[in-house]
Amino acid sequence: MDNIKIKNYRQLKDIDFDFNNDMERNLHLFIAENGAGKSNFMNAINWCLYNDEPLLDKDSEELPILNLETIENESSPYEVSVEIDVKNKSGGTVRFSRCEKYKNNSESGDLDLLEKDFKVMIINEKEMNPKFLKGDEAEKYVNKFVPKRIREFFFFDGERLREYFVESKSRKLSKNTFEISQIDVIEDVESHLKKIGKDLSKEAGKEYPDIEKIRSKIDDNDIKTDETTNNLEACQKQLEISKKKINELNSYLDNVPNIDKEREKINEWQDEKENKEVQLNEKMIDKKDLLFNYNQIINSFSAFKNALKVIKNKRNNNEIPQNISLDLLNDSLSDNECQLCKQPLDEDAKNQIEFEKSRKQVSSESANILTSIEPMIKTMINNINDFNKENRKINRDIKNLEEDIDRLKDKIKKKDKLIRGFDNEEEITYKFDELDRHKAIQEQNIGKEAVFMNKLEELKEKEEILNEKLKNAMEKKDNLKEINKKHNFIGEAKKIILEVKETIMKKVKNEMELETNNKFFDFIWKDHTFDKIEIDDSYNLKFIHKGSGRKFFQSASSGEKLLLTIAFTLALHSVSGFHAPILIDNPVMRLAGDNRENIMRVLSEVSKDKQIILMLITNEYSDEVKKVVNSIECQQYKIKLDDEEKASNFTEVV
Amino acid sequence: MASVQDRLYIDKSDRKIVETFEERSYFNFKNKTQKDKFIFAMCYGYNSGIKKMEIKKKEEFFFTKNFNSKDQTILYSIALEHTGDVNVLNDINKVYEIAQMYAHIGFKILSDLEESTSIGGSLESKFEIELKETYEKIQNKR
Repeated sequence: MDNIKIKNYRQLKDIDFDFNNDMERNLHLFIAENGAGKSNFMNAINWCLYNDEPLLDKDSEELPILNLETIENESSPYEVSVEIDVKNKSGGTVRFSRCEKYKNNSESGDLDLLEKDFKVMIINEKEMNPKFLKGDEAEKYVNKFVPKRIREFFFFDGERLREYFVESKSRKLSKNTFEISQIDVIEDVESHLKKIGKDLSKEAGKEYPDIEKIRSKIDDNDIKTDETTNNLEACQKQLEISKKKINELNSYLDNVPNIDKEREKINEWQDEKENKEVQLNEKMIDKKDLLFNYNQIINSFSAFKNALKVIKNKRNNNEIPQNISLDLLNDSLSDNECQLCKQPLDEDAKNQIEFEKSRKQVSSESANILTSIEPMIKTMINNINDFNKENRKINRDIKNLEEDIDRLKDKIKKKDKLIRGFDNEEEITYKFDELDRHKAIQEQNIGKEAVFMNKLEELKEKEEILNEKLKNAMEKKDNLKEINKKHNFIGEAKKIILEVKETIMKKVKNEMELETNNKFFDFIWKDHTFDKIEIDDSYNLKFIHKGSGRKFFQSASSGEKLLLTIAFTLALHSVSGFHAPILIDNPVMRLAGDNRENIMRVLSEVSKDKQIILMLITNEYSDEVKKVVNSIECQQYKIKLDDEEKASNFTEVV
Repeated sequence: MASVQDRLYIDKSDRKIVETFEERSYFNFKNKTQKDKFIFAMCYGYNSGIKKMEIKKKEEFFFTKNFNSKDQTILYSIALEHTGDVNVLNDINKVYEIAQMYAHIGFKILSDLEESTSIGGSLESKFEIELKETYEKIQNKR
């Protein structure tokens, strides 16, 4: 890029910027506060080349594309335009320019589009007159500069780094390998051969109904294949839309609580807290009962001990009988057998029992009371032992419940405070609902995509079988010799074309892998644990771990992922021949400390051979970044909004 | 011979204490029987070390038929220890008289303890500390 002229495009009211490409490094930094127009500078380039604005934020979406100051202070019609001058391979200049004209609609108060224009002007030094391209031709020329479908690898957003190698993007890349490899011509040949083959079998089918039957089945199969391919493409397009929408919603909802869900959570915790409070209340009552019950036996302990002592003394003095019931003594005598030891009674034993019996009958009332209370006293004394254990357990349960309740109270309080901080509750709830809805659509389409892919496989298999049948049927007919010859030739040619296509694609993929590895390992700044980088046939990128051979991507650091993106982009540029500049919005946003410095060093190194344009937010322009860029010769500009916040100016950093 | 009394009494002033304890739900008083509250106060009073306190104005509290064998065991043990005379067991009215006196002592001390809680701590936690101390002493003596 040599120059960019922007007129009345959003905050960028009047910009005419020359990229100085003759410095030591072809590195250009633009530093801006949020909202100053940094991302809209990227949008202006995208708008000029592709007529869209992929980095448009929510606030800008609601505003017209025209600069607000122009609308307020100037008279209609208004013109918005962006012109980009780039150098072509032969040293000439190519100018891409897009412009739109608007006028005020006095009735609705809206702006009506009057006309729009996009053209490419090619100025070659050897030729006197410039060449103008418009319409499709102009669009095609843009695709020679940077194909729209792979522009993310030329103009990319460092902040959304993690999305670069996700499946959908890889799939898109894989599809666009034709474009990267510039083998779309071969595809044209392939479809042409297919058409000739069809015409030949149609001719044969005119004479032979059996051939016509197979041919018509092939036609049906082709129609179904086209339908399924269209459905698959529509589904994949829908997946892209969902992905974009989900990303937008996620970035809007970043750090924003889902109020409905949070409230549900609060209610859940509230229920849990109330449940715990009921449990605590029950435990407190248990504790009261415990103190109440143990009071009886603990505080009466000395009375119990005294009673047992009295009983023992009395028993020693034979003042109270043994603690044996009268019934037991009577039973022993009547059965002539001791009811305790089951031994037959001799005379001495009988006498002893008679003596105990008479003692029991004649003993005093007090002695009988002592005998009757003795077992209960012993039981109660034994029960005292359990007090400590039971009391400790109940105290522990109470403490745990109290802690649980406090924790829940704290969680509820914090969550409540978090929710109260957001006053646009309705909008947030709506956005979360939207997010759920888009996720559900995405989920459905992922399922559909798999179904369509399976169906395509089946149709392909069926096509092969039918073609084989057709071939056999045609070969059986003697008077189709000439047609058969041509038909077979077409078949062979198609096979060769297919092989060529596959070979080129494989070669491109291998070259991409080799180049990516070369660039990555040239630039990596630290001891690393990667053996190599692998690119599979679907263009999924993986780091291969040294030793274990484990493949991974997401677990790599942000710095490593950014470096891989840069390495892959450079490989893509080198293999594809698209020598476009690299523009990175927020290049070091997700990086900190040394990683910032390291990535800046890599970019500085790359800018020796390639134009690098970096759009940094003020806090990205940290000491680590300055340390690198201030030690080399490069362009550094600040983008600042004017006092009325309607137009931005570029000023050089001194 | 005097007839065996069929009900037990508390001091009139203790009624107020019982009501306060019920209101404040101390020791789950509101879910306890009159007999159980009486035994509770009696045991606490017994272990206080105070051996005498006059009941000034008696008020019926519950019927003696509600005593079970465990209650009777406690009542007899306390009476036996209080008098040091085994013959007290032959005089159930005396046993009841001793029980009433200790219940009165118990209620009074509990009331004092409750009043002192305004200085700090709760009645039940102070009671728990005392009970644990008594328990520790018992375990040490064993």
